[in-house]
Amino acid sequence: MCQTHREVAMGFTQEKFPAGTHMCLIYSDDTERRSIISRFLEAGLSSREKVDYFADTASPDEVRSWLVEPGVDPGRDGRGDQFSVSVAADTYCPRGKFLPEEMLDKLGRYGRQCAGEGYPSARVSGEMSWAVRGIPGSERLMEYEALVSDVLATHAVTAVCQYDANRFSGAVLLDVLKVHPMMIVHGQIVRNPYYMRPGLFLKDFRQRE
Amino acid sequence: MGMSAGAHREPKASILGQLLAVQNVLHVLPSPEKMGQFISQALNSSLPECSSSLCIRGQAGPVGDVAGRQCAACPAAKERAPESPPYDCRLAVDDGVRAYPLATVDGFYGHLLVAAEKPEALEPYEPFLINLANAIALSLENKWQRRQLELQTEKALRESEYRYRSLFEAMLNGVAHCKMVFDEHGKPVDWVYLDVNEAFERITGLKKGMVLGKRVTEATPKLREDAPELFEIYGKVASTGEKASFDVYLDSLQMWLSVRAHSPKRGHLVAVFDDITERKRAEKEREQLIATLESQNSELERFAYTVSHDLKSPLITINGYAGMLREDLAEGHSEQIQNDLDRISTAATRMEDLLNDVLELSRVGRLINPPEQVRLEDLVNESLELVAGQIKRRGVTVAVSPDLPTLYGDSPRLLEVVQNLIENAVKYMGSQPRPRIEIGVRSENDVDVCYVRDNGIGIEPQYHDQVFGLFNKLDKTSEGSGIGLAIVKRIIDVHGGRIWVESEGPGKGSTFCFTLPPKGEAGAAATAVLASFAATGSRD
Repeated sequence: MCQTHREVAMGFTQEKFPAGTHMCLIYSDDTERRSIISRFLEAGLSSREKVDYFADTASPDEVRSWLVEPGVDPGRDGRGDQFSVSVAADTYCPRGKFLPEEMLDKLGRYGRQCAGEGYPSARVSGEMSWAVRGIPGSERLMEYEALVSDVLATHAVTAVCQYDANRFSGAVLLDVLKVHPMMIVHGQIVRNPYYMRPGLFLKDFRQRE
Repeated sequence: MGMSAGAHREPKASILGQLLAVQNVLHVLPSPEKMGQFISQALNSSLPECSSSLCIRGQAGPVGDVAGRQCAACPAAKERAPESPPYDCRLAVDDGVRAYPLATVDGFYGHLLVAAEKPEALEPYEPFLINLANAIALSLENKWQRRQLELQTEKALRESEYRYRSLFEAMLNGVAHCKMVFDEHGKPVDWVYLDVNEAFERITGLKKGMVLGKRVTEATPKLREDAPELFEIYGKVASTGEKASFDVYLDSLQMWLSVRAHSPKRGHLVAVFDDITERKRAEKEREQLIATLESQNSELERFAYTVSHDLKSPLITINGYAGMLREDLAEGHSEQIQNDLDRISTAATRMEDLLNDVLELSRVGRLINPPEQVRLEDLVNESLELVAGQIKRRGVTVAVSPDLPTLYGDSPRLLEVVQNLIENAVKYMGSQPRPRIEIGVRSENDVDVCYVRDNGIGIEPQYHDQVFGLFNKLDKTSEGSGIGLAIVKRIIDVHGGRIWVESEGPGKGSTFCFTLPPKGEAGAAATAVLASFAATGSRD
C-alpha cells in the first residue's frame, strides 16, 4: 500500500512532518513532557485531526486540563468527539493481557474509521508506563513498537510514545530508541540513528530471548 | 589482516551517529544508575566487540558490570575537585580495559570503563569516547548542581511553609483559602475549600476533613439560602482582586460573622473572619435600651411639664385664697374665712393626690413581686369589690365571661390593671342610660386577648394612642389625674405585653384590650424591661 501523506504540524516545533510519523519521547521532567504533549495534542485539534490520548499516570481529567489552559477547551466547540482520553491499560490490554497483534489490528481499524469519519488524519499519544507493572504480555511491547511504524504510516496516524526514564530501565530505553524512527530530543524531532528496520530488530530481539 | 586493521581505523558514520544520540539522551536519564545501564547497552550495541561500564563516585561498584571488571582508579577518585583538568584523560587500567575519567573543571565523578577484545578496534572512536565521558561528567555535574539547588529550595520552602503554617494555625481568626467556581456565564456559583485553619474549625464547628477539597454547596448546603450575597461578593473579590469587608448573619450556624476577603491570585479567595454574635447581641440590646430610654425621656419631659403645670394650679389656688384669707382676717369677714380655708384644704388635697399618683407611676417599673400564675377571674372579682361603690352609684351592669384565662405575672400589679380599666370604664360612661361593662377574652392568632368593654362615651380614633400618655385626659372635666391609663400601660409593658383601645368613636363605647405573654417568655421580657427601668431609676 503506497500513500502520499501530507505533512502535519507538531505544535512543539516549527518543522512539519508527514502524518503517520512514529516518535518516542523519553523524559524525566514531567513539566517538559506536559509542555510538549499538550502542544502536540493542541496542534492536532487545531488541524481538525482526530486526537486520542491513552493516559496512565495522569488522570483523564488532568489531561483535559492541560488543554484548557493553553486556550483549547476540548469540551466546547463540538470538539467532544474529536478528542478523547482513555485509560492506557484498558486500550492496550483490553482483557488484562497485551497482545501485539490485537493492538496492531485495532490501530489499523482506528485509522480506517477516522478516515471514514472525514478526518484528514489522526494523532495519538500514549503513556507507556502501564508496561512496567508486569501485565501479562507487556514483555512483548517492543515487538509491537517495531511493527506499529508501518501501520501508523499506512493510516496517517501520527504517534508519540511516552517513556518515563524514571520508570523504564536504561536497557529498555535503548530498545525504545531502536524501534522508533524518530525521537524527540530537547523539544526537537530528530532522526533516530539507533533505529533498526523491524525485521532486523525482531530477529535480534527474539535471539535475545 | 592489514586491510581489516585499516578498515577499523576509519570511524563508521552510523556508529558516530549512535554515540551522538546517546549523548542526547543522557540529559533525560534521571540517575547515574540509569545512565550506566543505558550507556553500557548503547556501547555494546554500537561496538559489538566492546563491553562497557560506568564507575560513579560514591557508588559501591561499577554501575553496569563489564565482564566482572572493577575500576581500579575509582577508590582514588572518590574526592571531589581533581588535581588536574580532564584533558587527555584516557587511562589504561590494563591491557583489555580503558578507563575514561568522568571529570569537569569542578568535580570528578568516576570512570567510564570500556573493555575490548581487540583494543585497536576502539582507536577510531577514541576521541569520541573521550567526548562521551566529558558529556557524562557534565550531565552528572548538572544533576548534582540541580539536586543541590532542589535541596536548598526545598529547605527554604519548608521553612517558609513552617512559618506560614504557624501563623495560619495560630491566628485567632478563622481563615479559609478557597477557589471560586464560576458558571459558563462567569457567574460565581460555588467555591472549593483548599485550606482552613484551626480557628475555622472552632468557629464554624466544621472539621477540616469535612470541608477540604469540597464545594461549599456540598459542605454547607444551607449557606446559599442563608447568604446568597456571599457568592456575589466572593466572586467579585476573586475575579477583580478588590478587597471586601462586611458582616453577615448565617442562620444555619446561628452566628454573626465579620468577614474580610481578599484574593491572593486570580480566581482564588482568602476569607478571614471572626464570630461577632456576642457583639451583635450587645449592640441590639444597646439599641433597644436606647430606644426605651428615649421613650422614657420624652415621657419624663412631658411628665415634668405637666406636673409643674398641674401642681401649679392648686398652688395658685392656695396662694390666692391665702391672700384673701389675710384680707378677710384684717377686715374681720369671719364667714369668708371658713370658705377660704376650705378652698385651701381642697387644693392641698388635690395636690397630695397628684403627688401620690406621680409616686405610684415611678414605682411601677422599679418594684416587682415574683411572677406567678393568677386567674383573671380572681383579679376581676377582687377589682369589682374594690370599685363596688362607684359601680353601684352609677348603676352599671357588669357581665363577666366564664372562660377567663390564667395569667402569669406580678399579681398585685395585674390587679391594678384590671381595677384601673374597670374604674376607667365606669368613669367615662357619660350620660349612658344603661351603663354596662363586659369583661371577657377572645382569641386572636392563638393569643388570648383580654378586654374590658363599656358602652360609655367612646373615643375618637385619632386619640386612641394618646389615652395611654401621662396626664392625657381627653375629658378635662372628669375626675382623676389622667395618670391611671399610663400606669396600666407601663405595667403591661413591664410584663412584655401589649395594650390598646378599640372604639368606633364618640358615643360608641370603648374596649380596652391587653395581651400578656405566656409563662417563660414573660419572665425574660419582664426581666429585660425591669432591668431598663432599674437603670432609669438609678439615674433619677
